[in-house]
Amino acid sequence: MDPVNFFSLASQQNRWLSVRQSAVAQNVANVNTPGYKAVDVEPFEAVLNSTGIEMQKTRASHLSPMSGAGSEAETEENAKWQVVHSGNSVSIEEQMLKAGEVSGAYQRNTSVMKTFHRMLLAASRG
Amino acid sequence: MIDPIKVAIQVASSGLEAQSRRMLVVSENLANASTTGNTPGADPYTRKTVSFESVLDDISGANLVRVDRVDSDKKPYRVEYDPSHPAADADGNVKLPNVDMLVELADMRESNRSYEANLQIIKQARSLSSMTIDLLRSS
Repeated sequence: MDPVNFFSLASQQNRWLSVRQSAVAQNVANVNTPGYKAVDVEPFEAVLNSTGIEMQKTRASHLSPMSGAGSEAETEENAKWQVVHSGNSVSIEEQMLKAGEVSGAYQRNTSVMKTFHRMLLAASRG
Repeated sequence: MIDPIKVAIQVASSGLEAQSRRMLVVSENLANASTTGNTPGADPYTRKTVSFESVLDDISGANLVRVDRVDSDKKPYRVEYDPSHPAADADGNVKLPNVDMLVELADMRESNRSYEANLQIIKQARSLSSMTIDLLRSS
């Protein structure tokens, strides 16, 4: 049986969620900037299924981009929400909704992690 | 790599600063809503407008926001007939500021709402990091 690498999965998703939170923060900060287009991160599924191709490094000490964190991309034009006259496509309601989703998922993740850890501890104590 | 939660707080605080600058300009306009000139035919207070721009932060790669420029509104002044006013011209007309109270109040409400949204983002980012720290506790 394959070992369930739950901890790495959960921490990967938490990293993705925090990148998403920073994308939401960018959108909210730029809610009154003319011409600003809302951004979002690529979905977690895509991050998980990506093969993790990295750029070639010429030196071992070069930093590589954090894998599995997702990158920001412009959202497809969101027809559901309005685009105001100045060309800004951020809707505060939508962003608040997203921020709520992020914090809910984060909380769920951390509490499952906690439970898993307790189970491991209980098993090792015997 | 900078912690994305830290980046979120940084971006939101740049939003707070920009919105409070906007609030400052609005209050300036409101306070000077009936400031006229002193000499005959002089121009009164001109309404100020504020516009934002998005700047890319090199270190975190995030789009911060800042006040681009504060311009003056090009709307014509209101003119009123009041020959006894010190700023009245030869025909007895006084130029009054081009400030519209309703527009200013609407602007203030919008700025207030955006400020609150930024504060909410900061609160949530803090709660995310404290959830992570709580993993260490009580297990």
